[in-house]
Amino acid sequence: MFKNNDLISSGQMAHILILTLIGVGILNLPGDLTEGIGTDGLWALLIGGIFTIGAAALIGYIIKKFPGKSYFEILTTSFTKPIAWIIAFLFILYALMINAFLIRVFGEVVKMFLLIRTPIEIIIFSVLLISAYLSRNGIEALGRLAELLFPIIMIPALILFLLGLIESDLTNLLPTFQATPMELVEVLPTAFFSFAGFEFILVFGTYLKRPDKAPKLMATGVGMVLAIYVIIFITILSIFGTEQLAHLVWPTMSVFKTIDFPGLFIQNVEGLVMVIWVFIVFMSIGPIHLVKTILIGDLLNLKERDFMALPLVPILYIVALIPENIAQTYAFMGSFSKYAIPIFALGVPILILISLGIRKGIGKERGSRA
Amino acid sequence: MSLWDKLFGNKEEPPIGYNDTTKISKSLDQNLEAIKADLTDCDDIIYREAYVGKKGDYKIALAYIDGMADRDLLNRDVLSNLMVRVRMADPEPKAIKSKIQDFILDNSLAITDMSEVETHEEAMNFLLSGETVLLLEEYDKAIIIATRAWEARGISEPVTEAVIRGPRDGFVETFRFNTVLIRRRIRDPKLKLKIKQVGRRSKTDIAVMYIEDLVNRRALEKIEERLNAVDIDAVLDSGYIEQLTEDNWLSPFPQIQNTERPDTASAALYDGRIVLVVDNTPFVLILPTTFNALLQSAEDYYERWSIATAVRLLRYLAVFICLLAPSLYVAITSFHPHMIPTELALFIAASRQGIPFPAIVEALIMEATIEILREAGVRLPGPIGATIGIVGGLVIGQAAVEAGIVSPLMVITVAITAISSFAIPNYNLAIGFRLLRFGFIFMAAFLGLYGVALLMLLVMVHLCSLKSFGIPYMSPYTNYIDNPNDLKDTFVLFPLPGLRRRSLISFRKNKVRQKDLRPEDFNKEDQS
Repeated sequence: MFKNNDLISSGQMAHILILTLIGVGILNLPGDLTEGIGTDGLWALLIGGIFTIGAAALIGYIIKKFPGKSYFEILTTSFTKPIAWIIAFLFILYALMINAFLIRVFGEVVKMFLLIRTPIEIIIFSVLLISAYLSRNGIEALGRLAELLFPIIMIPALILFLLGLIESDLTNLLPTFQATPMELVEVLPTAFFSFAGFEFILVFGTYLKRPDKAPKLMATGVGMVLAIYVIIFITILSIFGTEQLAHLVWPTMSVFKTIDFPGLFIQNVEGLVMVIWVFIVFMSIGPIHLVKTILIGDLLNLKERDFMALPLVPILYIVALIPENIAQTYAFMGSFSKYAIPIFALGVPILILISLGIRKGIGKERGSRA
Repeated sequence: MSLWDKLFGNKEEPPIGYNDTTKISKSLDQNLEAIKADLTDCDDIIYREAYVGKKGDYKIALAYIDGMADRDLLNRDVLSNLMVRVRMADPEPKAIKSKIQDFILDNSLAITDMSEVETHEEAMNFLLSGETVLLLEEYDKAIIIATRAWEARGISEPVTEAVIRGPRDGFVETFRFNTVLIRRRIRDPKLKLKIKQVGRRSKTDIAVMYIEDLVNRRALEKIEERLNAVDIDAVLDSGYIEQLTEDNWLSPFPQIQNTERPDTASAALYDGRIVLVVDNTPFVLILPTTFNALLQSAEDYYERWSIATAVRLLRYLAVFICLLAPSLYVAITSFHPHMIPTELALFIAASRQGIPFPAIVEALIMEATIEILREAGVRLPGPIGATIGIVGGLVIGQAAVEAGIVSPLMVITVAITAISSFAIPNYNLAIGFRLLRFGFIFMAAFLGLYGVALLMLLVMVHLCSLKSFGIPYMSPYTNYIDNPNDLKDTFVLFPLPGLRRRSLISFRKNKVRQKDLRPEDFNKEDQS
């Protein structure tokens, strides 16, 4: 058979970015945000979002500065090979943890809303096989899938959210501006975490057809995500209010339970929503699976790395099933992401930039001497 | 020998065929003997040996296949000229003796299409394709006279792609008729036609047709490379070429389009695609192709855009029903009855009461029945096929419901599914969906709606990974950000004045296909 040439357009990359972020963030939004400061979570979300746009643009800048280079190559040129090895290995572990967490929560939601009597093991395993298939097909298939699925996901989701607004009570959004600046700052990391996932684009950067457009596409992508999050946040908060929100595990799902149209063929839209939801979370699981496949291939210096997608399946399966229940999963993930996300989404990119600056400085010095 | 080798044959084993060449010698008898030796026990070959020249001492020989060559033409314009005119021509015997070959070639054969070959194998090849071989004494070339003519099916309306509005001519089995049908629609010197012979034994003619300044160059390189790589004993239909050259031969989706309609083929050429005309089949191949193109019908462009758009939306709905209807029925009845309105759920439950099978068995029984009916309908002769269809569809369906084996709702679902699969314009694509439908039914029985969603993802991942000669299979749906122009011809069809640019398949420097009509004011005179 005839192979793909593995380059994707910036439009496709932006779609991958948006869908990856939404899949990760939609799980805990907006419950986590309102926990600390109630209705003022909206402002935390906005500030956190704008901050993330900056961080994402930074990653775009790195991709622009290293056109066509893989993440491992960028790390090697920045920090020498042994350190690059360690960072890449930790990055794989980090991706593994996020992926396993996503899959576990995915399994729990599907079990709760769709397949009450089916063992979660089967739900998890089946989705893992599909994501392995996606990873095997590489970045080009992912890019096209993201662009294809984007309208399929977004148009019905938007319509459903608008329908949900009928039940809403906008006074639930009030009172606002109650939190002190200190409280707001304390919630900011949570807001930032709901945008986790943009750091994975660093690994995909090497496949971008036009790396020079990376900063713009990263910023636009995260900006879109911010807009979508704000819509979700306002809808959910205005429907449930802070008090009720505290008791909901998956508020996004609960929104659709409130939609009820007499005369509509589908009495509750749960089925349709679940299908869309499966698509959304899959579009997070798939890319992160691919990230690991690519990075492992780079680490082991493999020419043909597509087959690395399959051995990851049992590992992910086991890790996803370690926590005993959903509460434990969230607790573990909370403490894990507190350290890991800042390191990989902010720390490593900043270090790469510093090293780039230093090497530039050295280069200039040498240039001036010569 | 490993199991793999046993199953799929050893790679090293060379295919058997003849590759050597022998020059045609000066001696006519020797040449004739060589042909006769190759064609022993071929009793449909006709040899005619004759003596011409003033003294009747110059020997010529004709060989052709009975039924494939035009006998009238041979009698009237070849033999009579050779025997009569050559004798009458020149009173000087000496000159004739030395120049008789030139005289025969230049002055006496009243044939437009004539050529000479130097090797025995080439001569054999022409002889076997229906031409006549003329051998002359003392002449080391064989003369090939184009006499191909045999009884062929006349041009008739295509069976698989009938339209209400549009041209009614369809391709036939004769290679030359087919290229003519296309050439007639494109009076452009840029229309190129390269003929290749593929198949060691069948030597099937394949024409690669394209418009030089519009064609997608990468696709052209690829198809030529892949055609050259094909080494098979016989090519009986364009289906062989399709399977041997497509990008992913494990996929259930066709990556090369086939058509019986010359207007579809010409439209594809104007869009920068490549058309392969294969001898002996009315199915012409179009490549590269996309999922979108397979859901279009030639008629769409002849009707007004609003109608075409409505029809196309209907087709996409048909794809959806064809793929998902039975599996959704299975998923909802066996896993999620709470997802439909209570009255409907109760109705379904009531209609399923007393049925001894679970929903999946019910669905499989009915789907299998309808597939068998369809297959039987194809094999049976025309009038009986229709009868069996009615008997099978109505009687079995009715009887099955009355016997309480299946629920009436299941029969309705299966019937709608079957009808929907015929609404898909491309038969190959419809077969792919029919196959996948069974996968969906199993997944629905196994994991309910979640299973259906997962398999949908799998199918979409697969479709997105497919490419047809360098063009992503799902384009323009997978690159609308970079290429919004192509969206004008998808499930919506823009009015024809709006379709000003060719699709992304065509050569990127030559995209504009019509001038902007907006500045033109057709109503100007009426108003003044």
